[in-house]
Amino acid sequence: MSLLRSFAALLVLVIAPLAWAAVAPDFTLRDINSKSVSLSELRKNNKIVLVNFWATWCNPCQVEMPHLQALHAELGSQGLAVVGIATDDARSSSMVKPLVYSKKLSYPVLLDTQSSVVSLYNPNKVLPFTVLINSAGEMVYSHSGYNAGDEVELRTKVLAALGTP
Amino acid sequence: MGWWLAAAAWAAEPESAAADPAAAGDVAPETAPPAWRRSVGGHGSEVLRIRWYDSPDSLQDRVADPILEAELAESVLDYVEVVNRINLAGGSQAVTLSLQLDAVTLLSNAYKLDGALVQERDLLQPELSSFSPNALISLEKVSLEARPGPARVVVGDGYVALGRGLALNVVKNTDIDIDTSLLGLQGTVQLGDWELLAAGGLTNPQQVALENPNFSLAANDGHAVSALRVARYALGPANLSAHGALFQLADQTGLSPSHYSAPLSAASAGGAVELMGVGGFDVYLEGDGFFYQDPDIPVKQGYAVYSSITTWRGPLSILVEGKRYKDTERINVASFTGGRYEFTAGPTLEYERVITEDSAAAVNSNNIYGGRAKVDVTLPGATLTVPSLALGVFRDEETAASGGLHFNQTPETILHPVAGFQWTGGPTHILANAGYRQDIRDSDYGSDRLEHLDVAFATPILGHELELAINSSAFQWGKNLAGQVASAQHDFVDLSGSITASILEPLALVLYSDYSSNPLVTSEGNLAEDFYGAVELQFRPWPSGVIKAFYGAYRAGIRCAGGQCRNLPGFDGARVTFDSTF
Repeated sequence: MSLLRSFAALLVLVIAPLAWAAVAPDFTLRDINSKSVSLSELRKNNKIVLVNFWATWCNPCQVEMPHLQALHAELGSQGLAVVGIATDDARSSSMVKPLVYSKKLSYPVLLDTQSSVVSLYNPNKVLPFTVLINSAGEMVYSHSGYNAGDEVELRTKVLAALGTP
Repeated sequence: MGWWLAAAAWAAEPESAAADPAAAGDVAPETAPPAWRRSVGGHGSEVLRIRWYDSPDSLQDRVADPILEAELAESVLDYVEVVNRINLAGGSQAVTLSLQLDAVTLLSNAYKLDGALVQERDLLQPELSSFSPNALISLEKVSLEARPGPARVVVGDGYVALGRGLALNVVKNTDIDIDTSLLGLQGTVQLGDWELLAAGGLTNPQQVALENPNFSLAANDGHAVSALRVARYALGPANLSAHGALFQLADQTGLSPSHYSAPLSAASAGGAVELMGVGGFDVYLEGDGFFYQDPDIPVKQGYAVYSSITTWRGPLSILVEGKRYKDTERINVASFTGGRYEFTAGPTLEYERVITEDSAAAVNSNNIYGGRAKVDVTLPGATLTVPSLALGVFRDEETAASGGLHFNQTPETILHPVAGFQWTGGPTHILANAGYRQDIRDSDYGSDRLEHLDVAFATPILGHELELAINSSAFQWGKNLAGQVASAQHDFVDLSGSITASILEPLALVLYSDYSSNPLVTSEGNLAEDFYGAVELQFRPWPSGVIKAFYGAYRAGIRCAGGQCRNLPGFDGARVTFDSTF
């Protein structure tokens, strides 16, 4: 009987997160200019949000960045909000802003120096890690790592979430 | 495990079938979910590691190498280790309940000798009980996080850092398989331009290692830590903050109140001033004091000063950092628990990809000052081309005689120029860094020297992505007199490389090779004594999932990240890994 209960509990554990939508937890972080930015603010006006976790020491993250900047430039005015979250801890956070400048990133970059947001979205801290949040606040797509060509699939997913042909 | 694989595949299926416009040949608008699904929900991740450790054939060979013997916990026979980590998070946009369940099992870890069953390796230390000597299931992290308005409250496992991590830095460092949280209560509230953070709890290091061999797992040591920070933002161009932390080291594992009967072990307190955009400069200045009462700490006080200045001039991006650390590592040493975490970890200003046994001493020095300047130049063009130049200059006055990690008996001056080049944004990319580090000793003890190069290069060939990664370094010792085993101080060369071929999406083939002539490396090559080789097949069944099958060996070595260094063991055998989110 206890075996049956354990099995049922495991089944509930598996099914529960799948039956529900993957609701994106709200968060508030400081950006590289110390301004407080929250997910709920980014989602205003029914925007979809592309959250990209990265770090200054992560090579694939830096290869991916120009493609995210291109998405931001192309679709930012059509309802897409791109936001980068630097997962560098406090000790290397001084290196974030120079990197953002040298990469010519114009989308907001937030500092998660206390591992608070990465713990919610990406607890194993796989980098880069990208989450697409639709206008209803649900995580509809996530991608770990970066390989050449991934940006094509990402753009397709963003267009789908925007409802843009 | 099959359940999770199946569940994750099932989770991915509707998205790829219904929302993948490429598959449908058109871009379909997103379908709005029913209202009940919008308010609550969950997500998670699954990580599986199955490792077969191929032990050397000869017991005699193993016994002859005491370092290797200790490293691998006296194991002789092959065995299999299975590690499974499940993270689940559920709730609404304002409240999230998260948990992390870790499980580890050792298979083929016993043999019969004279009729008695002998466990070859001890997975668990005696104080850690489990239903089996070869298995452990641990509810590793649990937290309930609420975000009412401008506040954030965490009950359970949370992370906290103060300033630039000098006064306190208990955060995830999964890059070197360290995940220590504070199990307790944490709160942050923003009131206009004011921000208040308060946290208190017991250290909770992860017991089950994800990427490294699990043996002799111990109960948590549960040091008590509390922290407070008050910040005032946007005071003109300035941000001001004051912070402090209290530490009470537990002298035993477990959570009994009697472990905390001793007086306070240590405290840190400091403040920071940040000026944003004044005259085109961002300036950050932090000072911290350290106060020790623990009888095992040989000094009573320490201090740290860190500053950074950042500016942007046309294509130039310039970062200048300076530090002065005196007796800031004492609390880390006093609480040392097998390298599982460090309480305080300030900016090292080191190029951490090439830390050696020698330069790790500078990373953890109790008496060091210096700085680093880095200039990036963003060149015009369709692709992003960024050459860079950095120079680090430090004076490390800690020696072996003063109890540090150094091999030398005299202070040293460290010079470390690094040149970098990045070319990204197109189908081909290059990221490369090269440097030359000298640890120049006072008097006539010569200098330790390190030449290093790392390159990541990728380009499409015949429609397939080909990626090449190379790390190389050559090290020459100066004269070191501090009782270091002379035979271990041979000049050495380290080389590692990999070739990744995306042969047939979503499949990729990776070839690895390592070479090290460093006698301090505790592993042994599978192709030759100093030469390691491995092959890996990667399969990505869905965008957030990857399965890897690896066979071969890689070398042991010191690895530093986040201001912390670990001696990580090598590996020889086979492993299958699975990572996914759902």
